[in-house]
This record gives sequence, C-alpha cells and structure tokens, in this order.
Amino acid sequence: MTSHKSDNQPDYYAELQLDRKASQIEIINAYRQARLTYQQDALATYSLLGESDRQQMLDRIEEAYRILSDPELRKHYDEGENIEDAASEATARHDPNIIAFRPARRQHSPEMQWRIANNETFEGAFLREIREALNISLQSIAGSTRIPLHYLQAFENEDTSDFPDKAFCKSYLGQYAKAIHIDPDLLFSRYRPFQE
Amino acid sequence: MAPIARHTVPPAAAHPSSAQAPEVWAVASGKGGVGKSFITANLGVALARQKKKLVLVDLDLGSANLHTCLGIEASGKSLSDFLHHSEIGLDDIATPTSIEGLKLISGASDNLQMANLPFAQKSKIARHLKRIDADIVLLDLGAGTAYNTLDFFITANRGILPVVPEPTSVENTYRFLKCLFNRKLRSAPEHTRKLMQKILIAKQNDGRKIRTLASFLNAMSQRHPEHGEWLRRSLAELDLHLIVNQADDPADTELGRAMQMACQHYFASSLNYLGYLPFDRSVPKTLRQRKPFLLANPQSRIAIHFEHMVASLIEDEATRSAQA
Repeated sequence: MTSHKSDNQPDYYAELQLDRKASQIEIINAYRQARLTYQQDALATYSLLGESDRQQMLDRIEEAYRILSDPELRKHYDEGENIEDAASEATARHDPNIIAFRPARRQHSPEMQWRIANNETFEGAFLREIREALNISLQSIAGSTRIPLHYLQAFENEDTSDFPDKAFCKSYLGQYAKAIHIDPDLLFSRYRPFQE
Repeated sequence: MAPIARHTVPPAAAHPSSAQAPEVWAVASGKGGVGKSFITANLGVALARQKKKLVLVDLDLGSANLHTCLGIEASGKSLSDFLHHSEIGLDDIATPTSIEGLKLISGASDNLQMANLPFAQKSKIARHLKRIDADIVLLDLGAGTAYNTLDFFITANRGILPVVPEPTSVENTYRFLKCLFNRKLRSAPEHTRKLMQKILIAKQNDGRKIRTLASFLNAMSQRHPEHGEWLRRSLAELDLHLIVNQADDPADTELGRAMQMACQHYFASSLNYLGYLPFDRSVPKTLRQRKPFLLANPQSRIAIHFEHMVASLIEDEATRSAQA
C-alpha cells in the first residue's frame, strides 16, 4: 500500500502502475501502455467497460500523466501538497501533442471529403491538415501501427530519404493512409514524392 | 515399480524434497481451445529440465488429453482407480514418462462418470494433491467456470491462465476471473460477509451501486479497514499469471500487459503477465507426431519463450518463499 494518500488526492502512481521511484522514461512508457490499453475497441478492455467508463479511465490516465510527467508538479504531489494551484500554471509548459486528448473523429467533414477527392497532388502539409482535422495525433498513429514516429513525421515533411527502400516506405505509407481514413491506393498515386 | 502402501515409504529415502508438501500450480482458462494442455505439458517439460521433480495431473475431467500433448500412450491406472480403491494413492497412479523427473497422472482411461465428480471425491483428490511426492504438482484443469474447476484452482498455490488474442477468449478470461474472485471471497468469515453484503446493497455517492471489484474493495477498506485488508490478502493468495498464446500480430504481444493493467484497475488484483508464445504452424504437426513440442523443437521461439517463463516462475517462487 502507498505511504501517503489523502482522501481527495488519487494515487497517480497506482493509476499508471508505476513505482514511486519511476524515471521519466518509465512514466512515458507506462502512459503509452495505458493509452493502448484503453483505446477504442482495445481487445483487452472492450468487454470490461462501456464508452463512458472508458473515457473516464482515459481522463484519469491523462490526469496522472499530466502530474507525473512534470517534474515540478510531481515533486509537489510527492510531498503531499495540494497540486491544483501549481497545476494550472504548469499546463502551459506542456507539449500539447502529448497532453491534450480530444476524441478522434472517424469521418472527414464534407468539405474535406471534396478536397481529398479533387486534389491531384497530396502534399505532406495536406496530409497533416487531414490528420489534424480528425483530431488524430501522430503519437496515437505510432501507437496503433507500431510505426516509429520519425517515419510518420517524414511522410508529412515529404522527406522519404530515410527509408531503406521504396517497398518499405510504401507499406508504412499505406498504414498511415488507413489511420487517417484515406484510401492507400489513392495516396500512392497522388503523394507528391511518389509523383516525381 | 510395484505399488507400495504409502505409509511404509520412509519420507527421506526417495528424494530429498519428498518430505515437504509440493507446490501446486494450476492451469485453467475461461474458454476451451486456447492451449491449456499444450502449455501444461510443455511447462512440465521445461520445469523438469530445470531439475524439478514434477507430477502433471490431468484434471480436465471427462475430456482429458494431456497424455497426447506429452506424446505418451494412455495406459495403466487413472484417477478412477484412486477414487474407488482406498489402498491406492496418487503416487501409485503416477506414470513415469520418457522425460526424467516428470510423471503423469492421466485421465485418459477414466470412466464415463468422471466429468461430474461429487463433492466428497473432489475433496479427496484435493487433499491428496498436497501429499504427492514431487517439487511441483501441475494441474491441467478444464475450461469454463464450473465449481469443480474453480475449487481445484483455488486449492493451488499458483494459477496460470492462457489466453489467445481473440475477443471470445479475452472475454471468457475476465469471466473466469470474476467467478474465481467471487468464489474466493465467499470463504470470508461470516462477519466480514455481512459487511460485504451491506456495501454491495448501498448506493454510492453518484447514486449507483458498486460495479467493479476494485471500487468494492476500496469501499470496504474505507469503511472497515481490517476486513478490507483481509479480502485483499485473500485475493492476493491466488498468485495469478497470464500467458498469451498464439500471438500473431505485433499488437498481440501487448495484450498481456494491457490485461494486467485492466485487471489491476477493475479487479484491484494482480495478474502477472508471464509472456507470450508466438503462433507456430508446426504445433499441430508435432502433436500428430505425438511428441512434446519442446523436445521436438528445442530451438524454436516457442521453446525459448517457455524457458524464459519457467525461469521467471521459479525466481518468483523463490522470492515468495523468502518473504514468507
């Protein structure tokens, strides 16, 4: 059992199943693991909880990560202080890509659908725009496809020089396309680096 | 070896460990066909290679097939003989196998009534399991949540649950855990049970009744700390381990950790993820050749994963007994 646990302060370490001495990298890994565990339709949890419980669980995980990933907030928390005041000013320091969790959309807006259908050349920036309109982070695509993050970033920067060969690149690009709900074949034929 | 009445055997003569009660480990699952017998047989082989003295017991009563996974003929005496003849002990019906240190109590030639074991006979087996002459007694239990299965599982010092990365199997694993925890908590003292009832009936702050075991245990700990502690200790005795079998997708290898986390959040109980076994097409082929997989394919990934699991189980056991 944990040594300190006030009545209204949840045990963030237990939430992420971490040791009190966990390093920064262990916290990030545990957070990633927790997000995978409670992602939509996750095999390990879909039968245990309904949609609202799942969201609640994700909120708890976000909160635990928000506190523990910030060295200062973590220190306040470890010392058993009230962290609410410190927390609000700290939010600004955080990388919004990792912290903000907005539910992903599963469909493109009508306008976006039209642009996807009529755009002859898909630039990296356009892909990023499609993805952001869906509220999907690159981290979450990396999480579900297990594609290293820098490859995904390379697609949006149109820098395909890092890939060992084209087949490799194409296979990953296809998975990326599915993750942002566009047809892989459409992307292969219109992706700018492929057209050169 | 001629059957000898058990009380005439001097305890220290046969094996140094025989004076001590063996560790009993049970393998069970909520759904059938997830590889219980395959895993029991190969864990047995891997443990025997670590110089452990083992007896595998096929308690998948009525549909025993552990002998096939070990690649031996169904032969000789079985549990039915033990149940119906008071002079026969479990050690007398344990058949040696081709693997040194590994014996099998088979259910292959049991009579047709075995699947519906009456309470007295179940208790007789459970009592005698802890008197078997071995370091570890490994039970292969049936699928599902019948009381027979749950009770044997609770008797064991340690439980091993195989799961395959399919929705049906994952669902039934949770189902099995719920039934197991429920059955286990029923053994609480009467006063504790009355307090449990009260909490289960009462409404929470949000106006709803308690829905998860974790929140039930929290409520218990808040209102009746000693009783809550008793329940937590009682659940921790189960010492549960999870094996993901037939992992195919890269994501499958993460199922174990995810289930471990969900189990902690929802049941407030630890389910240690032991490791995974990669999907391998040669498994049915080896079964047809009637050889234990580990002996037929000692260099396979499956064999290596089994060895890792066994090493971590042995290490874990050593830490536990050092703490005790």
